[in-house]
Amino acid sequence: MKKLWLILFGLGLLSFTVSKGFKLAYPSYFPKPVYDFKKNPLTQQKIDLGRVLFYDPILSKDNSISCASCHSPYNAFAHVDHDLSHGINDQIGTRNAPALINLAWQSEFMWDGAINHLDMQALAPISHPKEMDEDIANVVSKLRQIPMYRGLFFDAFADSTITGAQTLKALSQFQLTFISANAKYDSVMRKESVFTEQEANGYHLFKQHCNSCHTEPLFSTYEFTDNGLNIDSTLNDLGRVVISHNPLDSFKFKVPTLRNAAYSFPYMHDGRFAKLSQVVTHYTSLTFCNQKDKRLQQPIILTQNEKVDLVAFLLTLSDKSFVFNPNYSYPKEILARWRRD
Amino acid sequence: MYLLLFWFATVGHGQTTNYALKFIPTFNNQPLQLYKAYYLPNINDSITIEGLRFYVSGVKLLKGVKVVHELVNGYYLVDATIPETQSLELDLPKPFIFDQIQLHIGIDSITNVSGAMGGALDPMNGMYWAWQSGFINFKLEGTSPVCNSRNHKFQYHIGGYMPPFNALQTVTFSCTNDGDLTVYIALDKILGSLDLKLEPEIMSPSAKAISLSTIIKQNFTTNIQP
Ligand code: HEC
Ligand code: HEC
Repeated sequence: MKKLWLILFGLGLLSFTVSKGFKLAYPSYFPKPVYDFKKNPLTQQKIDLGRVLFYDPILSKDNSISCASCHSPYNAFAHVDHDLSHGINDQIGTRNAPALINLAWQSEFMWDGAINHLDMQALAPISHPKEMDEDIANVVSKLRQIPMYRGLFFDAFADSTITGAQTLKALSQFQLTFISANAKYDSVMRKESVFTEQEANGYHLFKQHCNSCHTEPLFSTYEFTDNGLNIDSTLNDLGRVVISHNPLDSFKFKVPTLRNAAYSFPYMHDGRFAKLSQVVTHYTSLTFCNQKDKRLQQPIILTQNEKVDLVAFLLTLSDKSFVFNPNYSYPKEILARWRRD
Repeated sequence: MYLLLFWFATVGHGQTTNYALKFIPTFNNQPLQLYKAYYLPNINDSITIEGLRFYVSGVKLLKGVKVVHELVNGYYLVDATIPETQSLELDLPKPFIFDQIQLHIGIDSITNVSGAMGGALDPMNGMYWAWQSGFINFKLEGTSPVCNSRNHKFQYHIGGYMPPFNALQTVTFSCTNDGDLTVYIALDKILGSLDLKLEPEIMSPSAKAISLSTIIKQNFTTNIQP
């Protein structure tokens, strides 16, 4: 009996040192995440590994670009100052890098939903256009040569072999921690503060005109629809139809979240608008032929003051503690630990 | 007692728990040789096969219409360059009586949307599309002078799980449960059905991928005798 207790105690100790479980914190007014954490239970070690990978240009073919090159934490993980992300692949060069926020609540990724699971998303930027299905193998063989990664993978997976699946799962884990729920809007929801009169009026207008697609509290339904942008004939991006092959999906793009929109300029799938005020003007100047979604068929008529109020409300979605969260920044403390060891 | 054992060994013959499912790619009814130049009549030219890989999953043992056993979570990647992968040892939990084996050529849609998985399903194996999520069910590559493509390469990467272009195919073979089952894949017939000159590449979910997947299915048979 004593022996059994010792074994149990030993096992408990072992599992504690092998993996420290990590619980995601999110507000009670959020829905349940859609990511299946049972298949990839979060641990601090895996999140750390994912963070190191996210900032390491080793993931690109020529060791020049990391995920963070296009997804900077200071821009809510969008691409600063670029309308179209420049990088590795023709296809990627035709779209604006979206902010990475509350990814655990999304089941389809990219502007057109080409990626069906967060785990599989990283394969797209990692891969090279022509050899599209082979590069994760190159990445894995590069990682296997680096003692630090053998150590980090061992800490995370109790196995230093390093596989593609482990690499992808670790990247997911880090990105799953990107939860933004601490903007002024949230403190108002939690009754810890109140909107100014201007913000309150903007919130009212938002609920009237925008909330049907950019639905609270995530500020998106994550569906694909057409918000009335005229097609950019230099890009000819047809959107969702390329994936679904359903002609009704032509020119439909995923509804983006508006959380941290003040940080994630420029806007839209092609980054055509630099400012939120331009976005608002887009919605107030829709003509009959670009009102394809029925939720936009009532003209949106706003006075100059109302436009300003609406933008003031959008600014209450800025979450400083998200953008400046030290846990998301360049992992210098983790790297330092490995240099010392 | 001795007799009883003897009875088990003879009457219960074939009621084994080790059952092998073998896959032999063929060209003109002979086992395929990679990198060998074959003559293909419909193009009146030569063709060389450099790679063949495909997934086998959803293996079911049937007796009549009844499923007697299903190998859940059994995903196998058959690779013509790795002989060990051409024989799947089905470790059955107990002996079963069955007269057919059913299997998928490829990966079902639920598994396709289940995130990163290891083993045969690891995207590291090069059987996963990066730009539009989904497994490649069947991959056949090589060269022929007729191909209008870089280095005269042909590449058929067949996959797709979303309607209308779901390329998953299911085949059922009659068998006996007292011997292993060998499935032959007639690559000369599959390649003979293609327009190698004008269409040396099919590499995304599409109507063409679906029609090729049907041809592939028809050429998975148990009755070619090499
Ligand atoms: C060259 C710039 C670039 C690099 C490098 C890059 N991304 Fe992206 N990322 C983009 C663009 C552009 C999109 C949108 C693509 C589209 O819609 O087709 C995107 C989309 C995403 C999305 C989907 C977000 C959503 O809401 O749908 C995720 C997640 C993501 N990237 C994570 C990563 C990770 C992880 C890495 C590193 C492995 C990475 N990105 C590297 C530019 C980049
Ligand atoms: C019919 C659904 C719908 C309605 C209603 C709607 N939007 Fe959008 N919104 C979208 C879609 C879809 C996109 C992405 C379009 C694209 O890039 O092609 C988008 C994009 C945006 C963006 C860009 C975000 C980014 O990160 O690029 C902002 C800002 C925005 N909308 C604000 C608003 C405001 C403000 C309103 C109300 C006046 C509103 N939207 C009403 C569907 C809608």
